[in-house]
Amino acid sequence: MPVSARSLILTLALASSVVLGHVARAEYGGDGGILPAGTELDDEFSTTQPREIFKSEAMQGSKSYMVRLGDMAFSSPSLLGGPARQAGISCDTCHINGTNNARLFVPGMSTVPGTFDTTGPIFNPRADNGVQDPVTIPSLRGERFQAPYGHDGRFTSLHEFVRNVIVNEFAGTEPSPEILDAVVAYIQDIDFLPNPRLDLNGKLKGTASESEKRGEALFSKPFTHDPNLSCAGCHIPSGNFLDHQQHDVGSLGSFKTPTLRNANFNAPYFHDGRYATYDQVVIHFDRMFYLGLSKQDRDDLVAYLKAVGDGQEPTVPDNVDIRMKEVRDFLSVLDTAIPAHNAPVIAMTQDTVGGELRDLAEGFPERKDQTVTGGKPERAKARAAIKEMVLALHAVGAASDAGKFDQAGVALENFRAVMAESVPVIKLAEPWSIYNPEVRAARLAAFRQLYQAAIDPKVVVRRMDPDE
Amino acid sequence: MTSVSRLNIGFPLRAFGWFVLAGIAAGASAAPVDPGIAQFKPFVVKGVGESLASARKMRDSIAAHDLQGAQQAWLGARAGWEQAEVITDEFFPDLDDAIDSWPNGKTGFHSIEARLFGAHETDSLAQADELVKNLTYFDEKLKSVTLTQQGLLNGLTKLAYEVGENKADGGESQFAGTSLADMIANVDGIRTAYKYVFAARLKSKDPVLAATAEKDIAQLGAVLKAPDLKSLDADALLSDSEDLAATLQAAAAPLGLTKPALGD
Repeated sequence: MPVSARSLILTLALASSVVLGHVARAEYGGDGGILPAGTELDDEFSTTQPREIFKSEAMQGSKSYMVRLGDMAFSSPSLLGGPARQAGISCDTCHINGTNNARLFVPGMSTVPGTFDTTGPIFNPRADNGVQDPVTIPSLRGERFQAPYGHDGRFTSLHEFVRNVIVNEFAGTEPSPEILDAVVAYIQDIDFLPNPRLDLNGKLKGTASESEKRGEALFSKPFTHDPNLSCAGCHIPSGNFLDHQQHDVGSLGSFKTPTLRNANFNAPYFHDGRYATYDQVVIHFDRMFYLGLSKQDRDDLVAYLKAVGDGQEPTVPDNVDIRMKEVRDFLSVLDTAIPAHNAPVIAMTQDTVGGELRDLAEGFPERKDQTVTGGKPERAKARAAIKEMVLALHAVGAASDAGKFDQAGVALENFRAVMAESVPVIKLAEPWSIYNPEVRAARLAAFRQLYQAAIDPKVVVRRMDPDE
Repeated sequence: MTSVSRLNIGFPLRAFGWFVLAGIAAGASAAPVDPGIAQFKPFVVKGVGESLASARKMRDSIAAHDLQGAQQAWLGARAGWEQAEVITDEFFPDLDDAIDSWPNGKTGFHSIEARLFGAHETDSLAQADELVKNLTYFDEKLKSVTLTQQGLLNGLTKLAYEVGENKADGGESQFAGTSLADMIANVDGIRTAYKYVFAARLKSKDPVLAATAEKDIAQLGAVLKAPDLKSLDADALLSDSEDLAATLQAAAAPLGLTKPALGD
């Protein structure tokens, strides 16, 4: 699920208190603060979320238990440790619905939105390399095709890579084999968005424009100064635009070739997010490899990249229905875990679904939040209904903790009954919730105003600029 | 449909409305004063009185551009307020809005907090004046308001849930960094109200549940004995607050009250 405004503020508070020190806690207010344009506090805060499609659903009509368990664990802060857990950050915070979070910006840990320093001091001091070297948050669409893993490609196994993120980068405890297998199963099930403009060999179909066709030809054309090289030599169209190799393309190191499929939704580009657009990427390669491209050539290549990087229906609306669907999906894990007396999975599910529900409740401004004045009784009822669900779910976890799994099963049925009664109440209040773009904008404006009021003009925080 | 605007809560134009609403929300009546409530009320009256005294000091310090003095006084004013939260939501909802509005606080504690603790400026005299006015009004009305068992059980239950819900992660007082102190004051309020108003009666009706309630309150208090917010066991806090909220809901029936809803 998309990170909520509340989660964002907490993330920032956490980051600033740890990295910037107490004096700078208020230095994140959008304009004039240290949050650059393009972050969650922008006016354009989206009322959509990335669409997630699964191979198993497409082929079998439903996801397996392991994929559903992995999906739930991916959204569980309890998978991570220390400050991440405390701040309610999960894998899904950065990889929203298994994609990237182009708006994530943590002061001191990001250079531009969509980047994050995984070897910084916040989440695991032992992993701190003492250098501010954020990397882009990659989309995991089609990840099963994209070995090796990590920007530098140092992991051949997705299992090893995921374990490293949990244990080393985010100081989580060693995940159980079941949970690690499940997270990997989930990631491997996330598909690319379909792109009807490409054939099975990654070639543009006949409907392509002249500019796109010229771009495709240029893409495969050997470089003038080194005929052994071409764009398509590394981004192999028939292989999801990958060669599974690492290359030094003049970005201070050797990094693995990223896929171009669905790349329209994966900005910023390069391992450190130094480029925001395809135009900048093409200019980089033109200069680095002395390609001698004309303006027309560059435009054609960009047109081609946009055609290749497209995908059908990249987003879906963010609303109560889709959030409740996720709750039901996660909850379905309990149908297997309770009869199996799998207490750790029951506890993680309670924690994760409870978090999702609390986040949902935050979407209905409470009485003391005056950004929306309408629907006061409806909002109060919706918040109450969601909290009742949290307490009903708490009963499931409490029974499991006590080893009373039959009772946990009964509590689960009760939770589902409470949920069935609650959903219409919650839906009724939706027009006065942040799922209404007008309310969402007003609420974010209130946060901006609060944080701008707290800016100390005497405290200057240097904004990191990758071009410096 | 949606109406997005900010309330401009004035004083004393809305004062009468507050009082009427307070009576309706809490089910005020001419019934004899409950002896437990009579014992509890001085606790909250004292807290609000201390909050008001500190708020006055804060206003004077702001007027004198004494930043440190104003910050200290803000902290003092906050503590008494947080103890009183067990009754504010149920009995003084509009005052609660004016005094503790968040995040869009043009009035109240948080608007002043942002300037004093974030911007390190003493330029919030108008807001401080208004806070003193609102707390003065609260202090006066509190003395005459009729607290009810139902209203108090509602307030206790909501606050028990709220402590776990949004206070462990930075809470509302992010600039002053008082969230741990806020939670401790909240639980003090819960503990005191439970002790005077409900403990004996619940023990006579359902001793097992009464023991559970006392254990839950003790656990919640224990988890808050952390040196700082960073060291707080957020998982335990969440679990303990949910335990207590559920127990208080369950206590409604043996106490002959309606199960508290968990709204705002």
